[in-house]
Amino acid sequence: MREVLVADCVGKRFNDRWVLHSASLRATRGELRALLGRNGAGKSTLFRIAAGLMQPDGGSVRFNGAYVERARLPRLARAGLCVIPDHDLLSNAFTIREHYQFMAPRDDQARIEPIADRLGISHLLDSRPFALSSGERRRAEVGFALVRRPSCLLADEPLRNISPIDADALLQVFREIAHNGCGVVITGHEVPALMAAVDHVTWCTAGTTYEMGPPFMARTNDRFVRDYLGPSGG
Amino acid sequence: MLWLLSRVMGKVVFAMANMTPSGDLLFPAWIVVMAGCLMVADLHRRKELMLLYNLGIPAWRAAAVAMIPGLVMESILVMLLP
Repeated sequence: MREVLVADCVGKRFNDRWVLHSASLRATRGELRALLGRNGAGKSTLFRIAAGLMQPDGGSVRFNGAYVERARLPRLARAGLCVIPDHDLLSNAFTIREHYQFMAPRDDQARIEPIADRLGISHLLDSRPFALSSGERRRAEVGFALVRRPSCLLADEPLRNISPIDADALLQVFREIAHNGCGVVITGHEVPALMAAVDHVTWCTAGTTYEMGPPFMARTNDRFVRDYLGPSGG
Repeated sequence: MLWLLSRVMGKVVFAMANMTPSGDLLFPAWIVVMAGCLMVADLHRRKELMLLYNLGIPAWRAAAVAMIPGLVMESILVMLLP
């Protein structure tokens, strides 16, 4: 089974306003997927429901093929989900190395140095997150996920506030994580970089989602181009 | 606001302690519960809940762990004090 996380036909309302109706998000092993959508389209709500941070008013969440009643992130995390939120993930009370040591299994601590090397943050392992730039912090957060070896990784706007070269490096790491068998879903508005890197695009608009397929297919969809990419084509 | 809240909570606890037969235990119990609540509030303030969740630890478990020292100390005080 390739689908590791499925938030299916999800509905969510705030007061009397339905923010989502019949929206779905899938994470598939070996694939890097992008969840794209305009601000206010319901993208973050769908992401939060799939991550177990919010309860839906309709629909279901499946993880590793099993339905999860009242899905909560701690339970999903124990089953193999890792979530990188749009705000800082790491605590200023601990160094990056200490975070990685919490996350790595006891017999697998030797992986910490190679992962830090891969992300170019080995010289920052003994620093605390507040001493890092936003790009370095983002890389440290992705390293946290790498140490964890998740079966599914959700990253909310991981490219926000970082330079294009750091964004490209991060996307390369996300691709590697996906190609090692993890299902990865990322959100963001950095369309050229995302469309160049991902395997599949999910478009969230007006509270529902459309599976657009690979980026080249998405670019041939008139409505997606007109309503999301705009005249410049992203 | 926090001062007012603390003051009202203190008043309520003392009033209830005076009214109930096992009132002597109410204050220690309140201290232990407050330790757990303050732990969760502090995790929110320090934005560490996502880290905890990613480690597979729910907030109630962190609160329960935070209650242990208070529980031990209050139990000792209850046993020692007349």
